[in-house]
Order: sequence, then structure tokens, then C-alpha cells
Amino acid sequence: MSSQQTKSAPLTKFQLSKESEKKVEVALSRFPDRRSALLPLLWIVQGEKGFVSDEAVLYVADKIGIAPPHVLEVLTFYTMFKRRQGGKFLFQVCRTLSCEMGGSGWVIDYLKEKLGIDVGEVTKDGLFEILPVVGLAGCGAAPMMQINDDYHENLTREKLDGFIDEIRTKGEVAPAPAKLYFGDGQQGGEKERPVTANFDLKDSHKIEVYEKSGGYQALKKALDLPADGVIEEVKASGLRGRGGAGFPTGVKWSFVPKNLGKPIYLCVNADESEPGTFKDRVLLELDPHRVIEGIAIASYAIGCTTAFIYFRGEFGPQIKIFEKAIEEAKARGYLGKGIAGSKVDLEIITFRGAGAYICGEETALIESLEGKKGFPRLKPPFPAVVGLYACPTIVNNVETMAALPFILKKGAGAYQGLGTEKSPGTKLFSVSGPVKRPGVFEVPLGYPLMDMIEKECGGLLPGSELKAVIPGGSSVPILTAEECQDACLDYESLNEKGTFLGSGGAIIIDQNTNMVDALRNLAQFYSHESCGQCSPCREGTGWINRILTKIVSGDGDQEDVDLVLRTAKNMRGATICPLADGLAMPVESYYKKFLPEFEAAGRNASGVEAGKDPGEANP
Amino acid sequence: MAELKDKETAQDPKMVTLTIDGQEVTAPLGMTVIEAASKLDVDIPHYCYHPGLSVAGNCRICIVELVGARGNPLQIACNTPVAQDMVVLTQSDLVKKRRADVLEFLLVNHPLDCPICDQAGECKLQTYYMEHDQQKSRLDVSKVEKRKVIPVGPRVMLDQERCILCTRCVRFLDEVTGTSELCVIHRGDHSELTTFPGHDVENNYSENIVDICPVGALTSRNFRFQARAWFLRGVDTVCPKCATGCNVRVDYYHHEVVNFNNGKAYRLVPRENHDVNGFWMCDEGRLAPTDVNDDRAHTPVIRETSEAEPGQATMKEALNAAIQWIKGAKDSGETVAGLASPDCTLEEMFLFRRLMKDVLGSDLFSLESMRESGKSDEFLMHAEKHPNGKGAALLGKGKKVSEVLDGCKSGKVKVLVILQNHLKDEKPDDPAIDQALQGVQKLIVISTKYNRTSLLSDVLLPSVSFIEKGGTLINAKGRVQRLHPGPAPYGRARPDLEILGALIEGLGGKVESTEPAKVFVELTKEVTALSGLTYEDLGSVGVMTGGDA
Ligand SMILES: Cc1cc2nc3c(=O)[nH]c(=O)nc-3n(C[C@H](O)[C@H](O)[C@H](O)COP(=O)(O)O)c2cc1C
Ligand code: SF4
Ligand code: SF4
Ligand code: SF4
Ligand code: FES
Repeated sequence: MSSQQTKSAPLTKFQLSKESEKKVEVALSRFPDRRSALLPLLWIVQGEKGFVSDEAVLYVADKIGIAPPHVLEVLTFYTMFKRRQGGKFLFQVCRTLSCEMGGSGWVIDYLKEKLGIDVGEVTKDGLFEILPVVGLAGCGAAPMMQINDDYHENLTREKLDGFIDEIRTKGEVAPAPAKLYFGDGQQGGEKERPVTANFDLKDSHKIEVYEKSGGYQALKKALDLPADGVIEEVKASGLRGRGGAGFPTGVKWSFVPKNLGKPIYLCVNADESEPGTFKDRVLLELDPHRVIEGIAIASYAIGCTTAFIYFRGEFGPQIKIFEKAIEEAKARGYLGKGIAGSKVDLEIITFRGAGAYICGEETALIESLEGKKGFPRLKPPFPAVVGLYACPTIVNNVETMAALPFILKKGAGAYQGLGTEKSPGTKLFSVSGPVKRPGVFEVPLGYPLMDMIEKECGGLLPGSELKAVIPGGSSVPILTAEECQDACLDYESLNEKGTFLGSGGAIIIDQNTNMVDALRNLAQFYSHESCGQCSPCREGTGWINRILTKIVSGDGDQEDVDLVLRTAKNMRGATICPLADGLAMPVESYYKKFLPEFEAAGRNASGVEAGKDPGEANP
Repeated sequence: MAELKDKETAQDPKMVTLTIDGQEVTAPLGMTVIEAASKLDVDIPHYCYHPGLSVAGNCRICIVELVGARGNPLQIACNTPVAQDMVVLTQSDLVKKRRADVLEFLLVNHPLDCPICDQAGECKLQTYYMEHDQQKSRLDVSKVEKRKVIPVGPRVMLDQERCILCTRCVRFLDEVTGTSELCVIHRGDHSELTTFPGHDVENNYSENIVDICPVGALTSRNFRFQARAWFLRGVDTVCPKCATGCNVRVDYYHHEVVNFNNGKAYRLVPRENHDVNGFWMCDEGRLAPTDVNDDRAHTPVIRETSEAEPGQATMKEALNAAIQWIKGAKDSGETVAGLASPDCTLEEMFLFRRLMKDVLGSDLFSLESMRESGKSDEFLMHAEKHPNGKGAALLGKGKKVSEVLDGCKSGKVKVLVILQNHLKDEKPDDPAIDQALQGVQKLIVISTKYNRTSLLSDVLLPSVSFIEKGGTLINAKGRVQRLHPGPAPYGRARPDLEILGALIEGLGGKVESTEPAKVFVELTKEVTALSGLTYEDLGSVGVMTGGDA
């Protein structure tokens, strides 16, 4: 495959530049445990050399004081680390569901033709490399890709030509992200928007703007309460975790044992990788200070003085914005020693993942932070008792943090007043698929799904007919168009419909998408992202992917079709973390609701029906 | 009665009572269901769990049903803590179905190698498959291809396709030896076990990963393809290679039809003994099969004074010759000297001492050998390379070897009796040995080997190896442990005790029995540190001697 791969030079003693060496030293002293510097060191090495050689592995192992295999396993677990020199500009084209529906197939083909290289190859001038990737949190701007760290979205052939020309002539290319939030007053629902209130403001990411809008007042209010009082307030607000599982936030905080004499940690989950979900990305870009204020409130409540925020590796630009915001907050005394004039200290440490969906699972996130592969841990013990560095740890989603300032400032009652009785408050939804305005919207929980599509998203594209909606990110069961009609977006209503609110990543599907193709796309994602530790998930996701690929390419028969469902059922509830269920549930629900499409695909082998080219799902 | 006692202990706040397959068991809080089950001898299938390693919980085969549990009733036994009144089913239909599912997943990418796999016959994938699934593989979808036959170290071979990624080997190297040579790279179904280039698994405990690999992914480069597991029989014994005395099982060839290979030792594997070796043993100890297999003396030999050619003889003829010579020396008031070694069992040393001291009235004998101390490590391997140095010390080592050799050299000694002391092989170039051996008129050697030492003998009395006999050894920490007889004696060899007994009786002494158990009782009467012990008391894990032996 990699015919043009540059031959690696004979191994010499590995050396980094003075500047990188300095960064290495900083990274090594940054964490309570030296091993946490493993991913940062690999990033530093890759930043300078372009890849991580075996010599570099030995260097890193030596710096951290671990065995080389412990570096090697981490290096190969995370897909963003490279073991060989690649192209200077890496075109990472997202091919996950929303993007495939949006045409990522032609993007890759077009790039291949235009650049004269295959996937995994580098152009002769060393400039370009194409890499199909999965789930980049740009689903609302499909098709999209990242060129190195920068977003390039709503791709067209003309745009691609432009990027390539720019790189060839200027040696660089300006980011071209899409607008995923529309501050044009078309947001329906309540006027009160606890999380996105500032999104419409110019320079909303700057501290002056945040302060002027009343920012950091909630923190001061919280610090005047006893820590337990803050927990009580959050409990009373009914806020539930916005990362997917929906566990009541205040209740989770109250599980933290404060008398163990160990440090207590908060890990904020900015790993956002669930296909169909891109709300945290927008939040981090447009209002990082609200997240920081939330982190400070949560940290005070649970008694944490060092909080971590774990970004997915692809969030390079968001990390920069966030680190800038941390500097601003430090300068104003909201972070550091004695925050906001209190006796409470808080430091926030940013951490960059390196390409692994599973690191969004809270214990995998902790392992990753500890410098290991993102292997979800066995439970018990639970992280609230034995978490990061074996200390009590709370993991919370970015959006959960961003809801806290409102709750503390306006009171639990005000938050309760939004949404439904059992699902209070508002929630961010990321909507992707064939709608006029895909993007991120904040609505009160209980908001009708069809209103979301019609009002917030401006309805379907011309010629599109609603076929189905995946309401809460790719892992949840699907709703048919009919079921959507009276569906409301809150935890209870969706549970009644047999699905979940999840991360709030709503994927709209129209008649142009064949459900077998859609499922194969998901299977590809889950098998690629399975951490591989438990046998049912490791083998099951891969097996389902291979059988579906066989079916989609027209070689499957009814037995194969049955086998997919049986395998999915056998995987359910048999694993360490719910990733396996995240594929099994869609399989079961697609089969249940769109069986004829699967049966038709199964007849292909005997030539009864002509196979549909999987690449042309959405011409 | 037992039940009542259980109830009582259950009131201890740290103890709980639960039911597993209808049987009640009391277990301390913090224990897992799989451990509690093993107390009841309920064997819950498992791949990744190993009592000597941390819990990984990744294979998912140990699933059990928790009756009345909130949430998912199917939980893994290896990570589920016991709780009061918990009701566990390990054989319910739900459990059996799940187990079969997991097996199917494990076989998805597993090569159909059984006919050529070394593990066949003792593979836990094969065993559980026979017990649970037995469906024909529905796989007409391609498998993930990985590498096969990769040497990962001097003694261990890896087949990545057979590996089920249970990480037992990885955890062993991380947690027990701390050498961390293996890791699992990539993820999903492309995960594979590997070393870092140029960093092989060469620590002195590497072969333990072969033992604990539940399938045929890791195989011993020494053992590979030498024998199918079903032709092997095992004997529980103690490693003879150093003073640690690791508890081991020796597997030897056994075929009902008389076979040239019968009795041949194939491998040593550790037996669990928490007071000695835990679950492990060192690679050096694994070389012990050579003690059994190589250069074995199978026929008694008498070298006639007049002839250069040694002649084969029956054991009776050889014993008679030996007895006549010793008797001659004794009757004419000349000295008979003796050399045994700390390779001998306590019982052998005991009868040897009786022969020398009580029957022949000679104190020119030694229980020491000339073997030098070797390497030790911070784990199991001891620098003292005899298995029974403590035993020799306990019985009294007698004279120094050099004193015995000096006596021989001076011509004072007429007959020298050597028991399992391979001095000429240990020090081939030591002139003192040659001079001593030339100084005696008759050399009687009791030995398992045809080697430099025994070939100099006038009479060679072939005896058995450590797996063909019973007896006891005392390890460096003072633990008395038992050997057990496995295969029949090799060729015309006889147990050393029998040979010593025949010599003693032939020379007018008395022996109550040459059974190791009875000799042991005799010697406990004389050795206070062992007084009151019986052979049976030693059980399978031995007993500490009273006081520092
Ligand atoms: C496979 C998998 C991926 C996940 N990814 C994310 C994620 O990207 N972001 C997130 O906040 N939570 C994610 N979660 C949920 C987390 O485990 C955890 O429940 C959440 O971060 C807790 O925060 P919350 O209570 O504020 O929602 C994921 C869970 C699983 C099983
Ligand atoms: S379910 Fe999959 S992703 Fe989760 S721990 Fe198991 S193998 Fe890893
Ligand atoms: S080689 Fe054997 S012990 Fe090691 S992970 Fe694979 S199956 Fe487990
Ligand atoms: S440590 Fe000693 S007794 Fe144990 S296996 Fe090694 S050589 Fe044998
Ligand atoms: S033995 Fe329990 S999961 Fe493997």
C-alpha cells in the first residue's frame, strides 16, 4: 500500500530540539504522576519529527521511566500517532454516518484522483496524504475533513481544488470551519437559554464579554455557600449529566468520599466523539469561560483543587481557545490560588487525547490521562471512589459544567422551571443530516422533535422525505418517521419510545439512505473504535462489520443477514463498557423497523435484486 | 454441624454467607465469586482470571447468574465481590447460553489449528468448546490474519492468531517479574500481542507465560512438538535444581504399550505453594528433565580387576561384588570411606550414614559435594544449587569432602562408596580428585548417570532419578517437602534406598524398611527438629521444620 513511503534512515541516537526538550520537562512536571506525561510527550515528539520512531519510543520510555512496550502499546492504540513519516498535509476525511450521507465517498475519490495517490500513500512532493477517519464532530457540516488540526467543512469540489492550490502555492491553508450555530433569532422555545445565552454576542469567547454578561458571578455566589450547599442546589435543580448517560449530577457528586485523606479530582469530558454529536465543540469555541466557571463551581463542591479537561485529540483549535481562556481567568483571579477572592485553590490542566472514541467513556478517559491505553475499567470500584491515580474522581461532560453557572446564579428553581418536571432544564442538540440548517440548538427538555426539525433546522432539504431519526447519537435505537411525529426530546419520553436522549446528537435520515448501508457505516465505526479488551466486543463488532460489508457488496445471503442480528444480541450486556451495546442496539432497532431493506440485501447474492452501489447512497 | 459453624462465622461483620449452585459457602468480604466457588470446588470456566495475577475481566467466559440481582443478572465471577445472601448460579441455561456465545466470539478469528497445535489436549478453548458450544463454525467471512511462529525469546514461541488476548502473560511480566516485555498493540480485532523490537522475553521466568497461556498461543521452544499432551502423565514433586525447592509437576511420557520413551521426562510445571514458589518456577529449573533423560545408567556394571572391559551384571551380582569388597576391607580392619551429596533425600543420607557409621564404623564420610554456588535472583532462584543442603546440615554433614579425598589419596582408604556425588563431573580438572580415586582400591558408585565419575567405578549400581522415587528434601527456608515416585525405575536401576538397604543388610546391619515413609519415621526419632512428624503430615505442600535447621 505505502509504495511511496520514505525509507527510514538508519537508527541514530534520538534527539529533540532544545525547545522540544523544554516542553518535555514541563510536561513531565505537570502531572501528579509522571506517566501522565506519556501522551503529551508523544505529541511533542510527533510535533517536531512528524512521527514517532522506535528510537523515539525508547527515548520516551526512558524519560518517563517505563518499559518500551508500555509506550508502544499506547502509541499504536491512538490513531493520531504515526509511526512513519506521512504527508505534510494530512487530509482526514470523516466517513461516519452523517458525513457518508453527506457524500464523504466522493470526497475521498475526488482527492485520490486529483492527487494521484491512494489512501495511505504520500504524494511524491511529500505534501499530501489522505486518511479516511471516523467521527470528527463536524456532522452538521458534512461532508467535512480536517487538514492537520484545522476544520474544513461543507466541502465542495471547488473548495477542495482551492485548498490544494493554496497548499501548493503558499505552503499553508487557512481553516474553513462551518457555522454550526445560528444566532439569528430563529431559535424557538424559551427565551431563557442557560448555556448558549452568549453565543450571539461578538467575541463571546473573551473574558470581558463573559464578565460583562454577568459571568463569574455564580462562582462567587457558590463560594459563599458551604460546599455541600452547592451540591444540594445542583441536586435540587434536577440537572442530569449531558454526556450521554444522564445520571443526576448532584447525586453523583455526593458519592465522593471526602474523608479519605486523598486528593479528589474532577475530569471534564471534552472527548465528544459520538457520531452525530458536535455540541461540546461549539460550546468550547463560543463560550469557554462558562465551562471554566462551571468547572470552578463543581471543583469547589466536591473539594477538588486540580481539575483536568480531556479533549479529543482532534480538538486542536478548541484546546488553543480553551488554554487562552484559562490564562485570562487566571489573570483575573478566577483560577489559581484563592479563586475569586476565596481561600479555595484551583488549577485546570488541559489534556489532549490522540484519536480514540472510547476515551469518552469515563474510566477509559481516566486511564488515558494516566498515560495508558483507553481501556475502560472494571466496575466495581467506581471512579467516584477509586478514579484518577486511585483517588476519588468525578467525570462530567462539558455541557454539564456549562449549565452550572445558571443554576447557581438564578437558583435551582429557575432551572427547574425550564423543561419538564422529570427532565428539568435545557439541552444542547446537534442536528445533522438533510435539513436546511444543521447545527447546534439549545431547547428546553421536552421540546417536540418535529419542531426541532421544522423550526430550528428550517425543515428538510427540498426533495427530502423524513425516513428516520437517530435522536441521541449513533449508539441509540432509531425512530421511524412515524414515531418521530409525537416524539419529545426529554429522557422519559424517549425512553417510552424505546430509545435514549443520549448525547443529543440527532441524525436525520431521509429516503436516500439505505438502512443496510447506514448500519454498515456504524459497524465500521464501532469495530474501529472497540478498545479490544473484551472478547464479545472485540470480535463481535469486527464480525458484524465484515458480514455487513459482505452483504452491502452484494455477496450476502439470508443466513448472513440473520447472523448479524444474532451476533448483536449475543454481544448485548456481555461487556465491560457499553460500547458493544452501542452497536448492538442500533442493529436490533434497524432490523426491527426496517427489516425489508435487510431482507432485500440478503437476496442480492442469488441475483434476485440488483445490488445498490454502497458508495452511491446519496448521489 | 458444619452449617451451624458457617452461620456463626457469618456474624463476623467481615464474613458473608452466599449460595453457589445450591451450596452454602462463607467467605470474607472482598473475596470474589470465582474465589468463593473454588472453595466449594465449583470450577467456573475462566481464561483471563489467574489467582496469582490482577483481575482483567476481559474474556467474559466466567459469567454467572446472580438470582434476584438488580440490573443485569449476568455478571463476571472474577470481578463480582461476594455479598451476604447472594445467590449464584453457574450452570443455569442463561449462563450456559452466554458462555457458548463468548466461545463463539473467541473462535471467530481463531485459526483451526488443533491438529497441529501443541496445546491440543490441554487447551481451555478446546475444553470449554467441547463442553458448551460444539456447533459448527458459521464462519464464511474472512478472519483477521496475524503472524504465526514468532520467537519472542530464547525459550518462548508466539502464535498471534491463536492468542485470545486474555493478557495473562502481559500481567505476569508486569506484575510478577516486572520486566514488561510483552504488550498488546493496536485495538479492536486488530489487537495483537508483541514485544518491542529487540527486547525479547528472556528473563529467568519466561516459561511461566507458557504455562499460564490458556491456549496454544505461547509455547515452549523446548517442548514444542515433542509430545502430544495425552501421552503425558504427571508426578507431583520438588524441583531438584536449587535450595528453594519449588513445588513442581513433572510430565513424563506414558503409553500403555511398552514404549521406548516411557518414563522420559518432558517438562516441569510449577505447582501452587504459597509458602515456597507461589504459582511459579524459574526457567533454570525447567532444565531438570535432563537429570531424568540424559546419560542414564540402566545396567549394573562390575569391572573385574583382571579385565579392562567392564562387564554388565545383574543388580544382585553387582551388590554381591560390592559387599564382598567392603567386607574384605572391613574384616581386615581397613578403612571404608563414603561420599554422598545434598542432592540426596533425607532418607538416603540417613541410611548412608547408618551404613558408614553404624555398620562400617567409619567416620570418614561426607554429605557435602563439590558443586559451587551459582547465581541467585531476587525472586525464587537460590544460589545454593543443591535441593537438600539444609537436610544434610540437619543430619550432620560429616567430614569435609577434602578430608575424605585426602584420606583416599594417602592410601589409607581401601574402598570408597559414592552416592549420587558426581565429583569428577563437577570438577573434571581437579588433580586432588584423580589422586584420591587412584588411591583407593575399589570404587563403588551408586548413580543415576553414566558419567565421568561413575565410569571410573569398579561397581556401578544404577539408581533412580528424582521422579522415580519418594523421599524428602528440606529447602533453604527449612520446609520439609516430599518427592513422589512417578514412572517405573529406568532400565535395571533401583531406588537408592533399596540399594543402600541391601548393602547394609549384606554387611550385617539392620534396616527396618527401605520404604521412604518408614525410613522417614525412623529418622524423625533421631532428628529432634523433625520429631513427631509422619510422612503423611507433609501433605502436598510440606511442613516447616521446628527451629532453624
Ligand atoms: C463509548 C462511550 C463513549 C462516551 N463518550 C463520551 C463523550 O464523548 N463525552 C461525554 O461527556 N461522555 C461520554 N460518555 C459518557 C461518559 O462515560 C460519562 O458518563 C460522562 O462523561 C459523565 O458525564 P455527565 O454525567 O456529565 O454526563 C461515553 C460513554 C461511552 C460508554
Ligand atoms: S465493550 Fe468494547 S470498548 Fe468497551 S471495554 Fe469492552 S472491548 Fe473495550
Ligand atoms: S498469549 Fe496466551 S496468555 Fe498471552 S494474551 Fe494471548 S492467550 Fe493470553
Ligand atoms: S528457583 Fe530453584 S527450585 Fe525453583 S524452579 Fe528454579 S531452580 Fe528449581
Ligand atoms: S475469567 Fe472472568 S472475565 Fe475472564
